[in-house]
Amino acid sequence: MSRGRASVQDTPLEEWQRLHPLSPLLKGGVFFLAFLSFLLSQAWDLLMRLAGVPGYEGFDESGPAEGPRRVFELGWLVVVGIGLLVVGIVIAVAWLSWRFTRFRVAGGQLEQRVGWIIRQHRQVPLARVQAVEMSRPVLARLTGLSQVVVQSAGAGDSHLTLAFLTQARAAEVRDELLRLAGISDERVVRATPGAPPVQSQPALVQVPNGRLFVATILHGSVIILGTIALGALTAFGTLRLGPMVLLATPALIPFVFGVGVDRLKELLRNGNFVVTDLGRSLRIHHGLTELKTTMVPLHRVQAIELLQPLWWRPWGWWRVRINVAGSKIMDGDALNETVVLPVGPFEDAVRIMAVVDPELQPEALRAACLGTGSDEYWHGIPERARYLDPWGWRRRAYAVTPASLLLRRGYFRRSAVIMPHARIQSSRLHQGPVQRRLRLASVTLVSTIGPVRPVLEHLGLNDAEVLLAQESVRAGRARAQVLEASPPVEMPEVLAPRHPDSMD
Amino acid sequence: METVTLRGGDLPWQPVSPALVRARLIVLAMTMAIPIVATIVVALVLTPWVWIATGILIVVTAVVGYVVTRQVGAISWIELPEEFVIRKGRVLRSLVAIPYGRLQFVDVQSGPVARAYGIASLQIHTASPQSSGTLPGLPIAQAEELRTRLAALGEAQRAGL
Repeated sequence: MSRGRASVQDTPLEEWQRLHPLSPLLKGGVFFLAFLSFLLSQAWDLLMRLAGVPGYEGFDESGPAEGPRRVFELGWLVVVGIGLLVVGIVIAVAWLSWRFTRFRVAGGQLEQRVGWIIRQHRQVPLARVQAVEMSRPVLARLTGLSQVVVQSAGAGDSHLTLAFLTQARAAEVRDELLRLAGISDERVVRATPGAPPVQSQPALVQVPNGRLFVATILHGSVIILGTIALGALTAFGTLRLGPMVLLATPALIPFVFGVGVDRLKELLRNGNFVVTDLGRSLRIHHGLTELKTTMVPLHRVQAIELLQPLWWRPWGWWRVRINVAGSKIMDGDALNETVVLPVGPFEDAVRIMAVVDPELQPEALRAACLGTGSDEYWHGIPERARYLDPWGWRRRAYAVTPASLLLRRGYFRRSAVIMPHARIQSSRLHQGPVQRRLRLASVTLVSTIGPVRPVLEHLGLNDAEVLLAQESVRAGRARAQVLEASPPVEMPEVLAPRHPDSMD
Repeated sequence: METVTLRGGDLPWQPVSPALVRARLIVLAMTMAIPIVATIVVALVLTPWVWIATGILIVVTAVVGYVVTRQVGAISWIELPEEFVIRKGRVLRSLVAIPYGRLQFVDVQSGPVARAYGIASLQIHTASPQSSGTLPGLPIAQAEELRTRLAALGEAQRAGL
């Protein structure tokens, strides 16, 4: 704790403070850089000539005639002048933006004020904070800065982004917010603030980028496009339909482009995937270009799904995704924290599940993933449901464990959902006209927003009603237990100094 | 353990106010009146062919009106010790059971037409937008009373996410 750094860096969190001065430039980063490089390239010759670099002087002699050249040079001077003016304005606006963006943590709230002309004041109660994430976009990485994204439970856009802070400060702020929010995700012992975080835990699961690449390519959209391409080639080669096929080809380009971008995004998002077990939460490092660290607090996990598309079956790969309370779709970078295993063999999935839901037996999980038919644990759906689900009816079933309800479905695309009794928001029963004829009904156990939808379709009507009633009792009991088990989160009235030893 | 059933059952299910039928029919008539009048005017002024459109619109209005009448009769609700249950629909039947411990907040809404008939709709919100239940056609006093009671029950049985 040197006193020298005690300027911006060590302001206690309860006081209004600013972000890193480079923040606005980084936020508008790409445009600013593009503009700057444009100016530079335009002005390059002139600068070289002014600096008297040999080789650039020759330009004068071989240039156009005397009169026009003067105008030409004058023109460049004007351009450079305007350029400098624009740069000046950009810097001024950036400076103002920096001046008027402040944040603090006080009175159990994280507050941020933004804006000079239109002022905005956003408050997030710490009790509502669901997750705190640190991320580093490419430009920020070059400058050694990070942003802290605070996700909270609430409708609409309830994120608060602190962009940008220095790497060390961002880590401090994140840890402090987590501590104050009572989430206590990561207990990294930091001997000296600013030192790189200790890699105390070995990775739980690591996804090799090669496997990720293959799995990302093996996607329904790619398969369909590939089939179309193959069909087109066959038609071209054997059926002498050449010109027609070639004419139709440009129509495919947008699809190819769309699919390519989609796959690439997924690859970028899930690259370098490392999951670490931190006891009460999972830490996920991911991102091929933009390194991200996501914390998944285990007590916020609402529902879990194991998923296997048909094309992954030869490798026995699975994907594990979850619903997390309060996780919202973030600007474009959709649902990144809902995947806890982008692709991995069943053993990896089991290892992750052992942390996410320790009470679940691996055999039960295996049955949920691979089993078919009814037995003493699994309650299937009646055979008359085959009119509505000719292939999958044998696989659709549910089983009850002390802690959760297991649902399995999907004949081609296998899926197993684990829905803890305590996490059921509400339950629904639906019945369409055909189902009514067949005396069937579908049960939905509503979870929070997320990719996992615990639905069991085409149960016998009576079974569905009984399941609903039983589940209601189980859920009530489980909720009561959860309430007893976890003491209410204490909100500190006054925030203690962060580093008691730095007071001297 | 009470088993709630999709249709029928022994439990004392409560119907909603029949005034909801009239309120909904009036709203339907008001929304359909403008295009119907418009087609009549066009038919009189320009070409008699537009009478076909008028006829279609009237038939659609009649069908929707019939559906509305049937639907309202299918809405019923009940307060169980642990949860609030709403049933709806004739062709697409649905039932939603919301545990009191999951209630986030409860809204009572009443548009001008509904207010004229003294009814309001109760909207129950949980942490998931999917699971919010709407119960239309409650007498205003009953809706307010229900909201207060549900809020209290929700507070008493509150469970974390």
